[in-house]
Amino acid sequence: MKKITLLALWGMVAVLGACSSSEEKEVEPEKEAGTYNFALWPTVGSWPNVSYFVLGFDKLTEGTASLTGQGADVTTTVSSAVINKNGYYYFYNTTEGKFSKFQFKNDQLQTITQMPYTHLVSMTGHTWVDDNTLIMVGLDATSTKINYSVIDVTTMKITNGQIAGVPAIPSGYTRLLVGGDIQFVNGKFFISVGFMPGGYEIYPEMTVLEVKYPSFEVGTVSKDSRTAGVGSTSGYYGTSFKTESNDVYFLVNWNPAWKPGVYSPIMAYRIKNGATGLDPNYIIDTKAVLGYEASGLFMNVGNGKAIIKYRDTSITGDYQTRYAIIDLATGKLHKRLTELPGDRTGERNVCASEGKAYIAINADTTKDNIWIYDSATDTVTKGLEIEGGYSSFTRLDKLD
Amino acid sequence: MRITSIFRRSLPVLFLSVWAVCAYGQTVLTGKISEDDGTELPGASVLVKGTATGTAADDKGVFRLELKKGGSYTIQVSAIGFLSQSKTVQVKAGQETSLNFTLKSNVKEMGEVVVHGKNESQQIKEQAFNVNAIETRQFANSTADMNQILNRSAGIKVREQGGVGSDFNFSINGLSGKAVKFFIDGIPMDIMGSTMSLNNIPVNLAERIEVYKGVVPVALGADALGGSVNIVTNQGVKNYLDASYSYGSFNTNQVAISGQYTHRPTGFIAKASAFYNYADNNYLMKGVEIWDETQNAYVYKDLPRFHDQYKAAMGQLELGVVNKKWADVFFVGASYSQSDKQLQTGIRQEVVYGSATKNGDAYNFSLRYKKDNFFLKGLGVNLYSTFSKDSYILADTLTRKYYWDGTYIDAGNAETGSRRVTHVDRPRLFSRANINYVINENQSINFNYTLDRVRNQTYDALIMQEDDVPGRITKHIAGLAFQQNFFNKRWSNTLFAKYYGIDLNKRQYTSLTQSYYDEGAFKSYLGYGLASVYKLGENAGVKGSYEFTYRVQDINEVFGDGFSISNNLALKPESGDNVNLGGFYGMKLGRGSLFVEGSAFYRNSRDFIYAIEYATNRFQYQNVSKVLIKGLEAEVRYSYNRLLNASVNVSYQNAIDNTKYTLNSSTSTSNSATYKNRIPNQPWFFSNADLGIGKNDVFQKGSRIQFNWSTQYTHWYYRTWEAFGNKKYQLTIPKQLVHQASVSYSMHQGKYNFSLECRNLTNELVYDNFRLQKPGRAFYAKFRLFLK
Repeated sequence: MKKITLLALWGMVAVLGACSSSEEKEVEPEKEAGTYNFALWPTVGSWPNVSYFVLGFDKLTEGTASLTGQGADVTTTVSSAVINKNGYYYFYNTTEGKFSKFQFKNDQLQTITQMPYTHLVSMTGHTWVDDNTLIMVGLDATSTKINYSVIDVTTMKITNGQIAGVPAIPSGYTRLLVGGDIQFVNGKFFISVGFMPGGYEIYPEMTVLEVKYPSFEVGTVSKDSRTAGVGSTSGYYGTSFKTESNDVYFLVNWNPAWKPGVYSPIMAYRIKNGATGLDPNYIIDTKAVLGYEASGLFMNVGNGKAIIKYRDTSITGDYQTRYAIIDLATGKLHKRLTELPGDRTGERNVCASEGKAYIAINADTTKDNIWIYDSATDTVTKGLEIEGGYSSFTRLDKLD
Repeated sequence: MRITSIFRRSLPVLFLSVWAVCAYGQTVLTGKISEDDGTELPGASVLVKGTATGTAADDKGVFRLELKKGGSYTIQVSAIGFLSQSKTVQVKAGQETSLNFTLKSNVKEMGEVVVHGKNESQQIKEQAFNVNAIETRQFANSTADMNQILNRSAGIKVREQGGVGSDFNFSINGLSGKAVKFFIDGIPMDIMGSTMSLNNIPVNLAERIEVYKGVVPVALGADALGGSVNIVTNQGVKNYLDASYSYGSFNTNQVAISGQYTHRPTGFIAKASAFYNYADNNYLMKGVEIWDETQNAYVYKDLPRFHDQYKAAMGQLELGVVNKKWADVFFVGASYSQSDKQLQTGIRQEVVYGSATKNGDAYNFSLRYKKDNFFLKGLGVNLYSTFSKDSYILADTLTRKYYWDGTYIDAGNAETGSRRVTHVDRPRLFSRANINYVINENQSINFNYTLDRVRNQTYDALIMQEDDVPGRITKHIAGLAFQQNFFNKRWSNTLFAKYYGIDLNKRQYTSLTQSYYDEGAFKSYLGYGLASVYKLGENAGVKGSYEFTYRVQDINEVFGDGFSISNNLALKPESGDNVNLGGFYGMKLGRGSLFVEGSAFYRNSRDFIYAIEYATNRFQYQNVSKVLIKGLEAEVRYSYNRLLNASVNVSYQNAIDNTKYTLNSSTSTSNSATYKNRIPNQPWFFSNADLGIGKNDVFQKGSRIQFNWSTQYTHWYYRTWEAFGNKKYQLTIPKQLVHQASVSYSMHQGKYNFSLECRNLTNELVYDNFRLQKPGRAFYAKFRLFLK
């Protein structure tokens, strides 16, 4: 109890500090001319004329925004599976075989540098060793091995290799399924893997690998048979994080059928600071906690809380997406964000920063809004107003 | 006894009297039908115009037609392969009257341009439907394919992705893709395999092309939401051989042969056609990106395409008879085609391929039968049945990333996204019955039924030996049309209805029992329409047409793939209301003639089908979008004797997004941001001009020299939504102005023909879909031999 009280106090101080820092930034933004503090990725149009845009802002707390005459069309440049770090976007273009670094500046996605890159079939996960060192992982061409690349994002030097010691694919199964968002902590990172047959059902067990850095050798292999999914494809979704105390949480969100006719359930797990595998005493069964399964978003908002997205399938139509706050210590529902209107889902439409979650809601309304959940005050406020009618918001990023 | 004697003596007299009465009562028209060279023409149909009274000529070309009474009759004679002919004759009651006919073959001479008379294309254009009819014979000496000819006509935009054999998007009044259906002589073109496409078929094989816009006659039984293209081949019976070879830039070789032999005594005909196309397509790509190791940066260079070789061949043979009493036409046929294609780029030119290929072959066996006055005067039947199999293999097995200079690096992935050897096999059974009944001079009924059954098997040979979840679609399309003329045929109306029945079957896998089962669904829809033309004079008229039409769902759209795409049994077909209003006017100006036509069109298309992600990594085909297109098109043509012909056409089409709610949701209430915005990445204004000047008997008698020039203009357009994004950086497809010129010289009445052609004369940087570069300036030479 004492520990929890101390943790809460620490959290409040941290959040208050972050908030004041954030306020100061909004008054006197210290940023390069032409750059933005935030970027929203709206999609407009319907098939076959869907276009993807990036729109920049300095504040998400007030004002209005519209794509009319503003923003950059990035349809042919990048997808929303970009990596965002310190004001830059990084993108592995699998069809063109390029790795590129971009900056969104003056209403343009400007190319800083780009180079040939083909080491991964696709990037299924990424994590940062530090602000300058990016690790990307993905399958090789045979889908039986896990490749990695380490990229110095200043010099853009790339080192490629293959993770050693990946467990053998069980008999009857032919290929690997590698999880999405991964987290680097204490000189190692964790990824989840599954095993797929030539047919449809995944091997009915989730496997989590501890991968040591820089050797890229697998250490501890921990397993859990309560699900068989893995984290979502990296870049598109945000389904893992590490807390201020270096505890790692992740949501398995890519859940193929694992038993005849049944999709494996969507669970969230924890790896405690210093541990080399799953916390055997911790699991969040999202359907049991929320009443509905989680849907592709699980982010840390500070103060021991995380925001999670789910689909309320009792609601008819497209606007089923709802948001809730999870108490990370207990793994229980803290509250549902009932203030938010029903949302048509976007992939990474939430940006968590400094104790707040900024949520771009694509509602069935003539105007949309960014909604702000403040974990310190446990309140929801309405922020920036966005011209309505866009098809979706695929990303909301903090750029500075 | 006395009575008997009297009877006996009177019998010869009575017999003679009855004979005389009978003979007097027989009002008969007899005659002989010959070809223009004097050869007897058997089997021709002889009909009293405006009635169901008629007969057929015998093996010697002689006909005998008994009439009920004397008077003035208009007799129409028609035969397969000949131009119909009508003559008016005064037939005396109780007597035999003689009338002979000499029919002219409808095989046209090379370069023949009908100046004052109306050719078939002109007659078709004056029908109630909104139709482009193009006489392809006039292009027989050019190296153009069907796409290039069609792309010069009003309302049509063909957007090719590259050179010979490249994929293309064919648009009629703004609707394209699955909305447009293609036919050869009324039979779906793809029955002869995917090699038979508009960018492959040599111009020599066709007589005429008809493009029906938005409203399609029932005889072309198809679910054509946007319209149909029908290539009409030579239906003549005269012996001929048409052979050509052309060579041009990018090592382009094209051979085309067609011909037929008729054995007069038996009426036996053998028809054969074949083509072979080969091109390296190694044209220069301007300013393409490649990696420079020394500079450690991407640089831009002009480099030739290096993996775009294309070769295709097709052969077809038909054996049969024409103009028999039991059949006007009866043929059995077979064809085989094959194509090998290297793939050079993805959908954008930044995605470069260097090893992926797509190779295919197809065969078919067919039977066709046609008979007018089938058991009943005025009743015509036209039957066709075929079995075909079309197969192709997409092979992408090397994990490489290629660059425009032909170099590559080892990659983690195959070029097209996944390492595979995808086999696609499509066995198909197609049958068509068309029945036409002429009730009287002003009324006729046409009934058309098509049965089209395709089985689709797709599998990756790297991981399986056959498709474990094949699909089968059976389409039953029936159409009934009633045509009625008023005011001495000045006003003609066609009212029609179409029935679309689709039977979908697909093997599915169920995880519940870990077994396969067959799932099926039958759906039916009803379309209808009206086409009307009112002739204001011999060469002028106004017309309008309307159709409520469909593009029905296909197997995978309804049943998914059993894995990542789930089924949607509630999926509706794409549908639309299509309206055309137009007019035409022709006049003679001394020895020249002028023809003007124009039309306005309206397309309200709904429920376009597309796969959307409804949950993480789970897709489903849904009806998601609507498009509204309004437009205008006009064409002016002028010809002066056989010296000059010129034409200009313009097309304007305003296609707007008519999807009111995002994702077309039934529960939405707020408008989509793009609602009522112009659809991006589509040309909306384009124009074509053609000029031809020719002179006969130059250098020698029986020769003709012909010079042709054509210019195509496409106005610039936005690559993306016009209203959104910073204007300074918005992507556009620049305006394009392309010229081509050709000169041809024919000798010995068109027997020997030589031509030279230059395309993209000014070497413009020409783009198409997504700024994919097309060939620059190119030269071609062609020799054509035409024997008759």
